[in-house]
Amino acid sequence: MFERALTQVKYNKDGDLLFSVSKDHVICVWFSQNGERLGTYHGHQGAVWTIDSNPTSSILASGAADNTVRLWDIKTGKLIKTWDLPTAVKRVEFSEDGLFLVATTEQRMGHLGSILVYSINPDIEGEQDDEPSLKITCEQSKATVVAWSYLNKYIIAAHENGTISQYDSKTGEQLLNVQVHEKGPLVMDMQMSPDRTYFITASKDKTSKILDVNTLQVLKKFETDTPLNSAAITTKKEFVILGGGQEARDVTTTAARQGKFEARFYHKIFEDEVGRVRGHFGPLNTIAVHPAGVSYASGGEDGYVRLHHFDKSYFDFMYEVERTRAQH
Amino acid sequence: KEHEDILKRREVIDQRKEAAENAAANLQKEESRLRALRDRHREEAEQLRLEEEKKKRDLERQEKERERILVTEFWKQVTSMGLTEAEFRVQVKDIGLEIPENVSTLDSNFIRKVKIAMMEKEKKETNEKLRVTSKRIDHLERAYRKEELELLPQDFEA
Amino acid sequence: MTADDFYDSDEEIDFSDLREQYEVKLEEGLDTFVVVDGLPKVPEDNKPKLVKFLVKKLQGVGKTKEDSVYMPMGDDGQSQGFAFVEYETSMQAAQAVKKLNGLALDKKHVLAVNKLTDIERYGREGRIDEKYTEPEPEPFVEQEHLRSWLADPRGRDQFILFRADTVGVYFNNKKEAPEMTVERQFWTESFVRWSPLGTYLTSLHPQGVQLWGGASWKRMARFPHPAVNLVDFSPNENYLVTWSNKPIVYQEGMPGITAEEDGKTYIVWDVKTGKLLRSFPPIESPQEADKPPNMRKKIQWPLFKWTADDKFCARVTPGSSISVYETPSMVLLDKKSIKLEGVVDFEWSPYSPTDEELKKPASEQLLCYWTPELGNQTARVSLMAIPSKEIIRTRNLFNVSDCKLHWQSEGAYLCVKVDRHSKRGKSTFTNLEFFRIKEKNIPNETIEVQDTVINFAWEPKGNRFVLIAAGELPPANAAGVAAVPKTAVSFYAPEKVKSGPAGQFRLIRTVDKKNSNAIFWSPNGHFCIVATINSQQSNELEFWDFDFDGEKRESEKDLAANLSLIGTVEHYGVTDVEWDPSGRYVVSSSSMWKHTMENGYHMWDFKGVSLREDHIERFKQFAWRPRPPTMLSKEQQKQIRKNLREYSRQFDEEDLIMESEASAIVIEARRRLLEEWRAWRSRIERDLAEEREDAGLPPFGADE
Repeated sequence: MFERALTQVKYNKDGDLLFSVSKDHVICVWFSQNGERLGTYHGHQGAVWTIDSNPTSSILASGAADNTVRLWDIKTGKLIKTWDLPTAVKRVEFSEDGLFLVATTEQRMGHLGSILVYSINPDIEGEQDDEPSLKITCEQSKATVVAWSYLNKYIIAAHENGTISQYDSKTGEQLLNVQVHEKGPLVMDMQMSPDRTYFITASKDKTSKILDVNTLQVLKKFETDTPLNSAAITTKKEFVILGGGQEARDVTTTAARQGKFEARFYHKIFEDEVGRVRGHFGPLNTIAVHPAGVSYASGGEDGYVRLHHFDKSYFDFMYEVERTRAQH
Repeated sequence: KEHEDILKRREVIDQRKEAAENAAANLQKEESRLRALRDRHREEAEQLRLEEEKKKRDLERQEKERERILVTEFWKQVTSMGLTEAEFRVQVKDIGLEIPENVSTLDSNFIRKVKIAMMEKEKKETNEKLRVTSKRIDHLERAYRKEELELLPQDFEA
Repeated sequence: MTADDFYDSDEEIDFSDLREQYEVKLEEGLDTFVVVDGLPKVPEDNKPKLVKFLVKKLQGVGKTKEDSVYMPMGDDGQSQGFAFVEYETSMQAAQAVKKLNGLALDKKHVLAVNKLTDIERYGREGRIDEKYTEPEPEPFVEQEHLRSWLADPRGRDQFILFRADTVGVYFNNKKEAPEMTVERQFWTESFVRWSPLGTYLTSLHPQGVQLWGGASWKRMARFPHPAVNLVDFSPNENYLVTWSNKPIVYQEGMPGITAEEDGKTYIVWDVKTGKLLRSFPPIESPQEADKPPNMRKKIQWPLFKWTADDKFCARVTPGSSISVYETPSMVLLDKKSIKLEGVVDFEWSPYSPTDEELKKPASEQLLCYWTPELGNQTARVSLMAIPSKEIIRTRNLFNVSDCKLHWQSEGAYLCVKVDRHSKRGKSTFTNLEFFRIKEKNIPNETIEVQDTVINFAWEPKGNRFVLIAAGELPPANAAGVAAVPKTAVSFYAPEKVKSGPAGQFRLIRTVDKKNSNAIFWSPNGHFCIVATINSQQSNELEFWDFDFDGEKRESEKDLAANLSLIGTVEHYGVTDVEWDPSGRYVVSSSSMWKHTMENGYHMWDFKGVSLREDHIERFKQFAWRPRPPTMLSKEQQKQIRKNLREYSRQFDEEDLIMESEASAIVIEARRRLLEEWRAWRSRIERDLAEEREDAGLPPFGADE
């Protein structure tokens, strides 16, 4: 088990592996079926903020407070590349084809926040470029999270000021910038739909939204009563899972009820809350859904990763209109 | 010679007679021994049977005693619920269960089942009563207000 | 045109417009703007002339020009009697306010000049704009029906919600979201309050109190009491008492008040005419006033207590007298206070004499007061008739620490809760002294309670009661946190009797080892909530039925009650509980005035079934709108009860239709959402497939 707050959990594309990172310096990998730990990746010198594995599950990318982005051989645990950056790395993500990696860096000590794109050599033994293929500097407001659209078309970034922008991933040109969330409370998470045509955000402003990746139009809005840290889109069922909770310093009592430490399930299309799963003793920091939609994992401020396999009632649950529609 | 023959024969006869008598005596002796043996066996078997029977009776008595205790225990549990035997029988019937001839086969599980069913029934009844009360209160208030609506223009003029 | 007309016209200003218009400039500094009111109303043609004339006047104190005057025109083609003017500097604007405010243009027109920023500050909708013009709030002439809310075809009740800076009035829709009738930002400075019959919504402001009502929610009256803190109405809404902890410092030109009010803290007003009837100085002793506020005795509120018919009001001067005033003159009854040495407190009987009784010359009001032990004199509780001042009943009490006077809602019973101490003063306990007012010679009966009774409540319109007793304080726990004593809740009812007055009060049941501290009776009796509010330990609400329709306990067979606990719920952080006027619903709320955790409200039915839960950030106040007594005669009510079955059938039908309509709407909305989503998805998927094909890739998902 972990001892420090979780920062991100992520399944690989096949869904058999679950990666997790925490404010510890270690990356862990687990069997998603039984929760058994498969191994760890050592090397980071600070809190690891983010991870992602490439589509063939050969390479793992990680970003950390030690101002590095690192690539690892998933099988052997060997470190294959380190990029040193001026500030901490808050989010990394492989493109759909695994040929690019996007990373976002913190704004600190005279360094503006930036979004970097690296070309990735899928050959583990092969050389990796030292320099990014593209660098976008966030003049206005640093990016807190970034993600790739389908076909590597756009890079989508959520900024500190609550706006979301769409960048041309070739030129780095900002094509769109829309105020989606409140200014002040940070957008903590952004996850793409499986086909990367839409995505979900999670903000400390207590809302989560689904946006069209092409137009950045808000399609759905989920309103909760607690600051959100993570949001994930389920496959198989039309749900989203939201997680968050009042931060420890804002909670005056320790009662879990007070902090609202529950994973909340909302209907993706109807925007209604359909259920909650308890279990964490602190805010939920990160949520990931199995690519086949059979389970989900949540990582909490309490240092625990919780793995939930969906049961039959979950798959059976359907609104009347969905049922009638399904019959047609 | 003849005499001798006779004598000899007699002797032979006597001998045979004696032998026969001996044999008969032996046979008798053997028979009486066997008889005694049989008698003893029979006695022993009888003894055993009696013992067995006693054991069985004891067992039966114990069983009866056990059952008696179980039954008393059972009704004690029932009365501890605040019900008499008769009331309990009525309740059990009400919830569609049956009390068998031999009450001792029932255990606390049965009582728990009855208890739960009774509680559920009671809850259902309470809910039904409250539902009726609720409806009455709501409808009465609404009826008053509905009629009051008619009087409202008067109030305005006043 | 009169000044009064001007006053009316300025009421019409919709400041939300103004705000929008000047929002941009606000950042540049609205300090240079003034609002000039009290101008004549002129048609478009005469406007330039008026502007020119005005600018001439305005330039006396600073630089401005005709371009800087904006005089809005009304729909009627006339100017509206006011203008916005920009000066070059904020200094000049300030000068204009100082010098030109109150300047008479002619006999009829007196200028009112204010800084726009002040209007921003005071004049937003809902906030008072006393500075404006008129010296005295005038009687309102609206023909609006003040009870229009009772005309709701569905007979719903209203309530106010006060969240963040916004107060709104809503119709209760039970499980569904409430229906808003009005919502205003900055409607009040501190809190709002309904008048006792629900006619007015009262708001408090630095300049005084305002009453709002009618279907339009316009201002009905205002009472200029600077720095007002508290308000209280007489039971029939005829009179209003306001109090401020700061004595009035009279300055000339203060609207609505005179030099007479200097140094006063209490004012009694006539609600309908808006007239100030009488003001009173603070009653606390000078020593008390010198202490820092947190050391002072808690203010006694309401200080002025009214008879049920509004005919008299009275107040106590602790230790010496009770002063009874006659309305509407507010003159002391017989020109003098009633001297009662030592008197601590009193309460009027809430009994309202019928019209018949009032016709009789001997009709009297009852008040009850108590005096502590004084020298050789024992403590004593007395009943006095007013206006005769005749003492009709007295009872001596011994070893008294404190008394609380509890009248039953119809004045049929009085319970004096007497907290007593043993001779050595070591232990305390409570005696309840009952007086049966309606019975001959006012018989008395006593119930002794071993512990100290911390709460007592009569059943409204009934003769049963609930009390909460607190045991000894357990020692602080290991962590040194002071423990809260466990409480015991006891329920009482009279013995069943065949006829005549109610039987002796007897204990029905006691529930102990509780944390309960509050009792909330349904306004119609019958149901009662016993709750733990404002507590860290517990948030429990227990719903009790005193007339449960079911089998009765053997031990309670001869009591006029069948007590049953019908529901137990929890509401985290509950601070307030309030029944709706009909006793069908009850709202428990959690106000940020007490703490900031899980603020909002929760609505239950009378048996504790949850109807609605609303978590609201910065939620402050929930208050049901009271309803006036029914206009139906006893006969009419009887008739309705007789035909209830028929009504019931109608209501069942109505409810069914409503329900199916509501669910049909929900289903339709869902169906539409689903259609929209699916349409969007199929378009996106088609586009994606095309783009992938162009890129030489298989369709998405085909590689798996």
